[in-house]
Amino acid sequence: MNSLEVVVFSAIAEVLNLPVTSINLESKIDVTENWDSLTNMDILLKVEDLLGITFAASDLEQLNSSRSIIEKLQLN
Amino acid sequence: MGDSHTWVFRGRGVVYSPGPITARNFTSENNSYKQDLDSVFNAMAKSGDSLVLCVGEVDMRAHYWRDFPVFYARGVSIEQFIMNNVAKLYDAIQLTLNTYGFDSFVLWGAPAASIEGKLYNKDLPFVGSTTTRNILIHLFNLSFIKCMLSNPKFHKMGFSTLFYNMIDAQVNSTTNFVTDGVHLDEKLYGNVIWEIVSQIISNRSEMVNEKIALGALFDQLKDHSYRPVLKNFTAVERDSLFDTWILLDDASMNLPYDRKISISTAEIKGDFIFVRSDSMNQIEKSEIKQLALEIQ
Repeated sequence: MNSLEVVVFSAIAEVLNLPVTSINLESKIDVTENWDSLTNMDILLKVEDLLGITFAASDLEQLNSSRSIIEKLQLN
Repeated sequence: MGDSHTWVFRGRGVVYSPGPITARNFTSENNSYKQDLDSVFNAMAKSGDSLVLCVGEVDMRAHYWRDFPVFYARGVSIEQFIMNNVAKLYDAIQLTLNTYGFDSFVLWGAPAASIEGKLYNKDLPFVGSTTTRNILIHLFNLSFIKCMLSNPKFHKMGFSTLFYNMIDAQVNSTTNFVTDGVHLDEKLYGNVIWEIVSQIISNRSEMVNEKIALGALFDQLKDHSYRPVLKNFTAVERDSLFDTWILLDDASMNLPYDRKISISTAEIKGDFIFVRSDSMNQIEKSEIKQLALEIQ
């Protein structure tokens, strides 16, 4: 697990109130427990705060899985 | 088919609700509610059937206002925010109609929000005041109609609602039409709603999208623009009621907006600051972001 995955998985786990070990690259909205459209925004804001970045509005709705968030961060 | 607003159709045709499915759920193939609906469509839908769908009310009551400040802080207007969501719903509906061979379609719109003071519980969560939620409903309706007019790929589509019979020109609910804060009473409204929907379906050959007419009040409201109004939100708590919407025309007159807002059980006289999105500076944007965090 690289450092970016640690940050993103930790943010997801904290928002969803799940153990971080249960989060992986396959975790996503509507599949992972407690991850819905409401908590999705919480996750993105948490990642923004942890990393000091801001996602573009046009990206927000596409960022609904741990993989998509990490891939977006890797592009920046 | 759809959310709990399908209840008014009970006893009339096949009625199925997988639960509080949102418009966003309907656009997601991974969502269990959507998968439930697809299972029913697969099992029962016959080519030539008509589909009446009820989705969107949950989004407008609980999701849009909660998410919107995050988008607004990134320069997205409320009109564009809702249009982005509705356009995805419209595409998902088109896909459903084509996939299962439905002959005609009606989206049944949400009723007006209950008047403030109605007690809600955790099963029927909401954010925003009556007027705020009504504005969101109106913008959702308007967006869907714009999609129908601009993308008439499936011409046998209709949209209908009693919403514009339930509000006044200030977008306030004229009375409490809903029994539990959210739903219309099927005994009072079931027959009239079924009659409206049946007429749309039975006259489908003449149902041209350009003929959509929701009455004088819709025509009056359709060109209004809305902006959020900022104030010091530091006292706002997660479950608070508050109203931060005004007509842009009112804002331009720089008049004090003396609407009362409620924060938890305390009632506070609103002292809003009118801000246009194009004049926002970074401090104001950060304040909105903070609001978004506090709401969530």
